[in-house]
Amino acid sequence: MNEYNIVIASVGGQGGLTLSRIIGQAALLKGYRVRIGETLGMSQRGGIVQSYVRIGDTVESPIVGEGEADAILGLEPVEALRAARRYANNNTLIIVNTEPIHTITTIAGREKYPPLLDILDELRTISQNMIAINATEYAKNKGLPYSTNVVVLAVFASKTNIMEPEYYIKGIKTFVRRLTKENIELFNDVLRNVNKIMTMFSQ
Amino acid sequence: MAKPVLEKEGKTVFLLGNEAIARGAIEGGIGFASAYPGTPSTEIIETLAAVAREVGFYVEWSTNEKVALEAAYGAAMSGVRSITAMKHVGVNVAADPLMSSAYTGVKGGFVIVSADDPGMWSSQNEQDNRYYGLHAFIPVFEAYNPNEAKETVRMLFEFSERFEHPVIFRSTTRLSHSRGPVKLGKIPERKTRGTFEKKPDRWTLIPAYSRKLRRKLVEKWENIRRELEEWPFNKFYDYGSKYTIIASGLAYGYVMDALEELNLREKVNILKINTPVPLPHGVVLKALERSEKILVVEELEPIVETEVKKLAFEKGVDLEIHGKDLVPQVGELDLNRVIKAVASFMNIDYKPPEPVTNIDVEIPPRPPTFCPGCPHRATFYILKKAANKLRLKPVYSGDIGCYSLGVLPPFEEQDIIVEMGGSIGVANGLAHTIDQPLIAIIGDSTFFHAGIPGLINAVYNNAPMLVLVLDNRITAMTGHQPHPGTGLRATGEKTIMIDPEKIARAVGVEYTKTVDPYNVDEAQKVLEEALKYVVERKKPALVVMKRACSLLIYREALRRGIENPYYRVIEDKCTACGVCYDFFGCPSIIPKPDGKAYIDPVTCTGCGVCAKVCPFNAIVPGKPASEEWNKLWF
Repeated sequence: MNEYNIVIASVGGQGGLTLSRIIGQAALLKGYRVRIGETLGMSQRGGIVQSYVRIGDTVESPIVGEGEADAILGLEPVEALRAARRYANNNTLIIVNTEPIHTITTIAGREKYPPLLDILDELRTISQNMIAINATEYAKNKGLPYSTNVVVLAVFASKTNIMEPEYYIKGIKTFVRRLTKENIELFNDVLRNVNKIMTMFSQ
Repeated sequence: MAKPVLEKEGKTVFLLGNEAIARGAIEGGIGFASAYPGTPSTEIIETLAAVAREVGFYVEWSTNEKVALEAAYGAAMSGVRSITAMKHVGVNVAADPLMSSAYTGVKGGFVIVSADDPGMWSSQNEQDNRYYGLHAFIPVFEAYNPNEAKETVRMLFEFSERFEHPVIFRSTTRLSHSRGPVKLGKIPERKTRGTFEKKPDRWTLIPAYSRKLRRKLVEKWENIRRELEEWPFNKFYDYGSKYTIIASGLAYGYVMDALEELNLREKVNILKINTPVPLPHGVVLKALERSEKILVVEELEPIVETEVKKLAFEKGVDLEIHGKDLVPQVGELDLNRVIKAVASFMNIDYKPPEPVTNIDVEIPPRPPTFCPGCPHRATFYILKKAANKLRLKPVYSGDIGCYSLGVLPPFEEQDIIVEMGGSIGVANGLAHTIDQPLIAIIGDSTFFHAGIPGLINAVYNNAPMLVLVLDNRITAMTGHQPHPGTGLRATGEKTIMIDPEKIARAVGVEYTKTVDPYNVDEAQKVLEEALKYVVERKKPALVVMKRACSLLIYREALRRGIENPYYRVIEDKCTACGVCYDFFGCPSIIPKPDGKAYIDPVTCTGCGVCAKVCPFNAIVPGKPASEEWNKLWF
């Protein structure tokens, strides 16, 4: 298949790495050539976590080039913007979870967390192909407060046709070890109701 | 379902670079593995530990990299195939036995994995450990993706055994922490018991024997270099161009992607090199003779480049050789850096993509921070209060671990951080040269790793300092590995729990205490007393701040389905003073638009320290801890 580059932007503990592994596993099962790069740094301690899923026959290196992302999955608004400025182009599909996670500097009042609407405006300026949804709230309502990543995955699956949903479900089975069945149900639920959810939870 | 790393021969599975290295070791027939954790190497031994019993080999977390390397080296002396893995700076700790291992050689295949960290994602420097190969006369192997890493490591055991010589497999963050498909091979029978054959002229490095071994070593080195001409992952792709790019290790992937981007694939010759040290000459000469211009692309230092230039000079080959003039020496490579270098080398006009943004939203930085409930946060808070109360301005000699984050606001209680064990070590000098009181802050795992000799020195040479052991009952920074203080071994067996306070007592520290940092008042009293002791009696003292890593407990609770307790803010009592979020900095405490505090019940671990911090008693238990939750901590 032609090259398809995904950048996943998140905060440590949100399940960004798990999300990249699910997509990577799905692509592998589908028969694609795939490579994932993970930037952990001090990820466990609330730092920035970016991972890169690169699918395609000619892909050889683990990091996406600047402006080369076909999709950016942002599990946190500021992190989505940080990644979009570097990796997005005018056609990039940007899916952003609108639930902010403050940084330690904004909590302590040393920096300001930018207004959500400004973030979304800039993302929209970067690419019209932008979907904003409060995935965290949706997951919480379904009793799965740690499954923001699965909601974003389902929106991504519904808006792209690189793989059929069953491959993502196999990926979830491999990499989601806790509440696996419930997460698959959540994935299917978002897939079925994506348009309704996008109206109700979008901004 | 079987663990991916143990899937059957012939299957293609999706593995992390470090898991691929572990599988390579299993396919290579290891009987012994030892390491001290360190990013980005940790998952190698973690993966091996998880399957050791099932496959049947020995794995341990050693107290430090020197011990780990010595242990694996010892096993290899007895003919058992062994592997040790460490981060690049860990090799510094292990450098002494590393150098000797090249002199004596080994009997069983012996692979030393050095996981380097270009870009310093979680390290104090970005040293290029291929130099260790040159320095010690130990060949260095690289790979550019997980599949090649697995194959290389598998083959290295046989290679090492054939030459009776140690080998280094050098990984980097981008290989260790990338995932790719790996085609699995056979898991062979393995030898886990060996015999030690007495041969003093080989195993005892007294000067008379070392002199002979040194001569042999230099000879062996050239034999190894010749053998590497045939190494299957070194390849010359001759497309009849006058231009050749030599790509070492991971750089090969970036070069291929750059050529794809510039529409230059198969239009420029590629020499792919996975054995930078010693660089095989024949294969390089062939490339030199076919070219008018060479570009060497390698991460960090010009090791291949220097050897290529030397070779061209010796052989009188006249051609243009580029390297670090076009490829950055500082920081890790990425596609954009390599595209720029290749375009410039090929005289192609290349414009990097412009940023597509035009609204100026200020993005706040996101430095890492202590987790909710982290006992280190409590310690730093209490320590600050104790020092302030005694009107002391101590110098905080810090160390490597999660608590290094104490360097950042709001605490700023790490004035020096240089290397593992350096907190006590460096304080040994400062104690005799400055007048400020000294506090050496060191984690439990780091204390066992390299803190004890420094502590003994402080007693022996009477260096007054307060040594604070931040004992969170685990090696937390690298992802929760057990250590000598935890009572657990790598593969889960129970063992003796070694107590840092008892060690301090045994080596002659007269003031020692252990206290729980969640117990704010008592802990502050103890720290005040200890500081006074150090200042007035001018002697070393040691206090263990003992409380398990909250992330470890929180995760365990999630796994077992135990609900977390939490605290809450009484709206009417909160005056929006901001002390709890400004000066305590717990990520679970978030300021609301009116400045009053809100505690997130999902992430709060109910440690209750913030309730002590609040000057208005506005923070109270929201949901009390269950019995199951409390049991997790012990």
